[in-house]
Amino acid sequence: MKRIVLLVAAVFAATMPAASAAGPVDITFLHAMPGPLGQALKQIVDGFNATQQEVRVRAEFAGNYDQLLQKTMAQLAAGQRPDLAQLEVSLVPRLAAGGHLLPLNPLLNMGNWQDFWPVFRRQATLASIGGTVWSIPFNNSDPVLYYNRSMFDEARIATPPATWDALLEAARGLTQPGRVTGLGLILSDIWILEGTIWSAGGEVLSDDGQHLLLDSPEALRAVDYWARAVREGTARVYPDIQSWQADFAAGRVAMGFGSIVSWRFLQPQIRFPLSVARMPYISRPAVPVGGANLAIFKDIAADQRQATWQFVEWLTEPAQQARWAGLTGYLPVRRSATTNPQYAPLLNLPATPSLKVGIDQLPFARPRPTAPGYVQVQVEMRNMLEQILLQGTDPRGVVRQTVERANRILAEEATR
Amino acid sequence: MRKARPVQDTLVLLVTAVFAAPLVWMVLTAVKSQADVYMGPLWPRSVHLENFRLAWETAPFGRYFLNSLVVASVTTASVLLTSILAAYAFARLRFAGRDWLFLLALGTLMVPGEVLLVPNFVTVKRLGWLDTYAALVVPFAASAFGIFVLRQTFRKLPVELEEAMFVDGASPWTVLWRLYVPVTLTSAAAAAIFVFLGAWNALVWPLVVTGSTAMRTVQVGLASLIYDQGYNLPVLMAAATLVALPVLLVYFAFQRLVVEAALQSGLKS
Repeated sequence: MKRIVLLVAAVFAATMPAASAAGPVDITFLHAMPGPLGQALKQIVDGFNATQQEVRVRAEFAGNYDQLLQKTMAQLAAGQRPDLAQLEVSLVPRLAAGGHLLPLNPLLNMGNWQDFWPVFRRQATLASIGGTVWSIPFNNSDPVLYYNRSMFDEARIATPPATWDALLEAARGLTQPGRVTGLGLILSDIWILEGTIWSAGGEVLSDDGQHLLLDSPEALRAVDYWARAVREGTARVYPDIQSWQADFAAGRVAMGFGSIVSWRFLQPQIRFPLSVARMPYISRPAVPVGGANLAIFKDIAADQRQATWQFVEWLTEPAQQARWAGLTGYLPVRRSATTNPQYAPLLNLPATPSLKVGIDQLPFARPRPTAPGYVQVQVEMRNMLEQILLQGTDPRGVVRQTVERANRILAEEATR
Repeated sequence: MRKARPVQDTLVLLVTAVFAAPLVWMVLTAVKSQADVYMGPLWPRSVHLENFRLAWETAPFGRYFLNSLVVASVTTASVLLTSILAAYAFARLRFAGRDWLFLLALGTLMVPGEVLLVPNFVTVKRLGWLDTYAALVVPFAASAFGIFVLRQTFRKLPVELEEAMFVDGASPWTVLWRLYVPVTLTSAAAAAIFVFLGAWNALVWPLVVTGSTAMRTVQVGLASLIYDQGYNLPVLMAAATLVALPVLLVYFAFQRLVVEAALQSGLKS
């Protein structure tokens, strides 16, 4: 770790102060972790503050990801900025393109950069913006299949479905018309659709981030699976996660997708045995990884910059990653946090079965698309799902229109 | 005794039920166990008061309540004061450009709060008010809504009353506080309820201009209980009940004022 500090110090040597002044350097860390997640973060930050004297991190809750962005934008307009902020991954490109973030390429030279899961290395490196590292993976998760174990037993389904064909078959077996629907599909969960498309061999966005590729035969095949399940009456459509969770807890729907982090919120609400399995695939396993990363702001004082680096480096150490994952159920970004047995007690996998499945899926994981216009494109994709799943419109025409609209948005954003 | 009007009464009860149902559900859920929220009966099988303790411990709610109370009360008092003065000027004083200025004031109602977020933040920062009560109160100390409501009420008052007082040697200041304010308490109370509610429910602005726990408000506390991947609903509802309570109290206090004022004005005519 010392070596990395030196390396980073060398990179910013020009602006480094001769010696650090008396007393610790204070840095502000804006985060969006509420309730138990916020308490876990506080525990981690307190741990850092207790282990050394040079840096004092002040963690500040800034609401949800959108509110945090509003606060950050207001601060930037007033010539002020947090030192470190937890940014939802889709927000990073916009701030990076706006020139607000510090490029973190020294991270690439870190000896242990290779210890980061490939998916997180890819996520941090934005190909569209100079192939530069703009953020450090922090609280990320992948989706899993949650299911009602009792209903599976009743329907004599021994193993959770591994493929979408098996999933639809299981949904048919679990559905009891008027009482129970086999599968819940959530309109706002665009990442599930992304994963389904990838698993069919399709792509969501082109490499340059300028084209939505939902009209490829592979992507259409994925959309067709969703449409077919709803048409058959073995899948039900939900507007958001909460409404699905309510029906799942009440035993009105037997399966559904959710983030691995949902386990801790879901488990206390239900009376039946909760089980979790890998995301089903169409022709090859693929899962999206999404969440938030940490970004350091440009133009902060050199002392603050160095102090922020020190904190971030400490935070990405395997021990910290294992502790963070164990406390919250988020994925550890470092491979050794999961493979080195010394961290197993911190990780505490038996307490969160979803975390185990989430980690097992990491070899097939891909970062979610992050083109600057993709935030708006997701709204178009949601509208598309609404038309196909709720109004029963033929997918082909709707998908083509969505692609046209999305490409206009992506092109506009790319030239901004 | 008033005459029985079965159709109207049923309708009133029905509408009341529609509005009261979420509140009732909130309180019932607040005392349930998590497993009873979606699976159990509507009426709690057992009472879990610990939800309130858990909610209270999730965030420093004691301090948050104090802050919200201070901010909402001072904002309400400021709005009433500035609205009464401005409304009197717009209703009765004669000066060049009066109606244009009034339109300008009304125009501010058209500007959505999101648009003002950044400029207001920049102003507050330049004044050195970040993370203070001033940042939470001053930007909202005047309200076009309050001015509008009071101006309309002031204008309904016969000018002759005012002229009679002037003949007796009263100053405009005396006329305003002795005549206008007492007879328009109804409108003032209505405006006060809205302003207090707005200040109490504010979330984004307090999040943006405050950073320390010492300066944050109840809505920030509530927000820290919500997460897009799920939440503990009974604890959230317990917190929501606690946060809603002062607002209901203020509403009932001012509502009595509204009713009494209406009754008094009825007796006078």
